[in-house]
Amino acid sequence: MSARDAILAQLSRATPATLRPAAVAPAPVNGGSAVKIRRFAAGLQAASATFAVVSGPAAVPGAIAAYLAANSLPLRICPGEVPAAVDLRNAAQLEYGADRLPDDGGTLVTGCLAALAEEGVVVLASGTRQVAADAFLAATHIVIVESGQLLDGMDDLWPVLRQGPLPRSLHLIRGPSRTADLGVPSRLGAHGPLRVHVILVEPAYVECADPGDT
Amino acid sequence: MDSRDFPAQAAAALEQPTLQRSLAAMRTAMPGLRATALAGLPDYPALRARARDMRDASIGSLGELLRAYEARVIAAGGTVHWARNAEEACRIVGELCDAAGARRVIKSKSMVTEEIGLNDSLQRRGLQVTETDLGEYIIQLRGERPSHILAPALHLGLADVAATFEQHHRRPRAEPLREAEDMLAEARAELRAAFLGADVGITGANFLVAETGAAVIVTNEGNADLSMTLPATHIVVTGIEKVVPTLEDLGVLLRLLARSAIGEPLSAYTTLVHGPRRPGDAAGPRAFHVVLVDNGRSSLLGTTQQPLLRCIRCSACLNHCPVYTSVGGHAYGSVYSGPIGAALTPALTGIAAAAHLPNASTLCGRCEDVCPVAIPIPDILRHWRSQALAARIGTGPERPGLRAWRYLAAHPWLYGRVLALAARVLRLLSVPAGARRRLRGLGSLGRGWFAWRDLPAPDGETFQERWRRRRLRQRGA
Repeated sequence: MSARDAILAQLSRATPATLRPAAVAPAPVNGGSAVKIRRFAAGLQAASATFAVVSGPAAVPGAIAAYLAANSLPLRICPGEVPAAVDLRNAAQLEYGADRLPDDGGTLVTGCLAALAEEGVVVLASGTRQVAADAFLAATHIVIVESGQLLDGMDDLWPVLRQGPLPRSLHLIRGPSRTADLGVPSRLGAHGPLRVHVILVEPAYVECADPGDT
Repeated sequence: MDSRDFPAQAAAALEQPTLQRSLAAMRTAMPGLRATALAGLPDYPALRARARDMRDASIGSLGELLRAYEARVIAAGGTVHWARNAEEACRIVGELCDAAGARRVIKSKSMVTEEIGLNDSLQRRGLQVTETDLGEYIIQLRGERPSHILAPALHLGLADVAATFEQHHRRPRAEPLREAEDMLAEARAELRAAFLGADVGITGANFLVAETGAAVIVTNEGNADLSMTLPATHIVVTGIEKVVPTLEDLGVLLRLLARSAIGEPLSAYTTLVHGPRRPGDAAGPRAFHVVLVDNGRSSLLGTTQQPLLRCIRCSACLNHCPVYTSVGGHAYGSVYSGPIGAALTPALTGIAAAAHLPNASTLCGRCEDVCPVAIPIPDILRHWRSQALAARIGTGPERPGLRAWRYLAAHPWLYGRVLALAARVLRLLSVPAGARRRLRGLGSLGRGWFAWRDLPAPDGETFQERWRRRRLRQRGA
């Protein structure tokens, strides 16, 4: 008897339990767009990621340049797949780098498949340049989230996934790579990015420096 | 380290200052972090009940779910292997590495691979194996076992890490390593080279999803993502109990896992992977294998210990256990430590080798209270205690005592007399302490206890005597 058959025979002795169909997991509170954005921002910031809101795609290159300058980083970016409306190639503020990351890490800019407010995460999918290995090798990862991609929470992500062909891999990313193995507090940049910055493009949102204050 | 030596190992652990500092920090910080994170959920009790019921339903139909999962993986171009025990699992992984012509293997942390002793087995084949979780990497360099399910190097301080790196990393160094930042930079550089040069990446899986064929892996470091993206072959090694039916069911467990484990809504990286690289993919392995390990799990079905299969390895029970947070993980001498380890290890290794572990508990019940899938750990520990007693394992000195107790408990008249006598004798031996009297010692009896604490003294009267007196008074009134 093969191991497979032996294990399955052993498992067939289990007593089936029925799952009561009621009591679907409680959904996160849906408090409308402003509340959702605040939750999203708070979740990211709690995980040492940073966050900014801009009113339209044209403002994205400026926001990227401002972030890089504020962190004393070079203005050179390595673009992954970004939303079509965002034009990084012709942005005067930025230096458009090669397709490959430099050996010391560099800055990667990508879009995403979705973002989740309750968990404060961005969701990247394989199949494109969005999740080349670059997303885990870059020193700085800037993620652009388009209006409409921000969902309430994880339970809203699954129906989105079922709409299209399932990507080979999906990555829910909540902030920079970190480790607690060298004591408290956690240290950032264990293997992957040292910095994760999320830019939300939201025309309906009144732009402000700190979305936590609104 | 062996579970048979728990008493000596526990005594030694109490004398280790670095371990005690780490445990004290954990004991102080973790309960609050967990409680705050769970309070952020709309309805934790409902979510917990849902998780428990869903895990039970999944365990009841594991065969069906695993067949569905397997079909999805095959359709995506992957291969599924089944292993009855540790030896089979190690052989399968070894042969896959050989077939890939591999020399260098990178791993992200996996308790199942600890359980089956995979690293030793691969190294015996001449493979170079590098753990990439930082804590696991440190203990691998030191030749140690994990002392916590999530924080394997919990027992080490920064000075230990510095000494380990200075010994093993051959690099020019102007001055000794002192700062955590420098140690991290050094490990990052060493491990990045290992990632880029590896032929095979091995990960565990926190969950498998039958609906889509996903293997789900969570980390804070991102090392699993690198381990499964860069090498040409990705091998997932995981237990057969990890499978859940749908993505929504996965969501239920993900919403509980990191909150219970580290007090955060999610870990930094949660990854669902469905197979090898597809045409047009910019990255990913050419070959994708899943090794499903039984190793004693299926034998728990239909027993009172079946709820152990619900476990999602969050380690909340460790973080809240008065015994674990006093002695740490190594004292248990088993791969899985803490309350879940004490309950699970006898099932995996047999009660004879692990008879001390069910006794490494005060049965206070916090482990069950904080368990996100409500495993009745105290009940299972009691089950193992009675098994050990029935098999006369490791219960030498207790037996006469238990027999005497049984005789007393079955003879109420004698019980009352003995207790009345004990209450008077203990009162005579006690000393005044404020308004009450306290026991400070009983000669050579209980010296270990009285070295650190005293006991409130009985009033000299038993409850039954007092009750009788009260009834007489009421009747007289």
